Amino acid sequence: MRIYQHFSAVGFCNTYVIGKEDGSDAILIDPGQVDNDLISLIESHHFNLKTVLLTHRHESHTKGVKTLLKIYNPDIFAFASSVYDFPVIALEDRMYNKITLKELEFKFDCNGIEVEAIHLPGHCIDSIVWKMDHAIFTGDTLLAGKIGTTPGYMERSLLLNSINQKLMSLNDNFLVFPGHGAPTTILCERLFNHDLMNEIASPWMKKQIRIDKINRF
Amino acid sequence: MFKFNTCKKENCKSYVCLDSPYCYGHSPNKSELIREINRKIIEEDEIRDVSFAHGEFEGLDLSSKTISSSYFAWCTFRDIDFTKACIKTCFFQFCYFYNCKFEESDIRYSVFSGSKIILTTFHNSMLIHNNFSGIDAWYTDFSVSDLYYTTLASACLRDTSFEDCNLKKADFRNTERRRVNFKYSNFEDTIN
Repeated sequence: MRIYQHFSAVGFCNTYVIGKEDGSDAILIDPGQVDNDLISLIESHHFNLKTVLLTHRHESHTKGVKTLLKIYNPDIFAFASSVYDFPVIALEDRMYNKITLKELEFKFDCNGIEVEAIHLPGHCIDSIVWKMDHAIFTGDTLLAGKIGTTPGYMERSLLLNSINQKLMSLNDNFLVFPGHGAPTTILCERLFNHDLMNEIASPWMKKQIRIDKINRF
Repeated sequence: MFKFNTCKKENCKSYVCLDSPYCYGHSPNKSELIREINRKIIEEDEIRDVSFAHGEFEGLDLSSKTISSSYFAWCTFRDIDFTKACIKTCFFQFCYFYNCKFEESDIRYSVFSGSKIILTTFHNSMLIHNNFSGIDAWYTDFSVSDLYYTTLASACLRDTSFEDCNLKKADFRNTERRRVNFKYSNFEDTIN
């Protein structure tokens, strides 16, 4: 698996292009801005762009989708379809049991690469972490040395709980590719991320937030 | 990217070294592995997709090499010359760098987190989008470098120089700094 990083100056977002090898079908994560450099990156490796994965709805991570759709014809995967004005394969109904609201393990094959979607609300209600082999693409949930911003304490607590339960349980060696800034690893975040160290959620809030029972809407 | 194959030894989650089925610690023939990696990194101009954690390197000239998508976590580098090297998406976390030269190098999207960096110079380098969080830097020179969007959060910096650097969006939160020089640098543009 090859992972190429592209930095878009608009929104300061990292876009990742992932392919098995040169000339293979490729996955693109978070097209913040489609510029000549990104097109060159795809074309110089002769990638056939088949899939676009969105980590969340914010414009700095999705603005380039419409440009991509004019050039390529990729399938676009995101948590919810209702927030986008372009066709999206929504995972919300496949990731949760509609009756019990229990989260289901959701994996699919993307051009020979097994992709697992992990719902991690907090920064945004539709935040998804994409896991491929020993790499995770965290969007704005977990960044090098900090966690994503949240609109309030409740969401911050929810995000911290989600990260601790779903990401910090992964192997230390997992590579973390965030939506902004430098890459990192799970062990580095466990040791040096002060936001995770200073988990400030009060016992009352922890009691209130039961991630698996939250009504997402 | 290097292959994410983990060591064959039961309960060991470390990545394997080169094409061996074991990590360095569990490899039955460590000296052969060291010989092979030394040959590879000296002879080849472009070092790509290499995984070699826990290795020890000393006195090598890796100047002007291109190193990409490689994993060298927990390694020891002594007296290594990386002058004008181009390093992209490499993982050097928890390494030990002693008397190494990264002058005029171009290092991007790489992780040096948790490393101990002593008597090392990054003078006049492009160090954008790197992760130096939790490093322990002593007598290290980052002067005349561009550290745009690089994180040094939770780092311990002593007798270290950031003179005439671009520190826009560099993250210095929770750092411990003693005798650190930011002369002519835009420290006000950092996150701290």
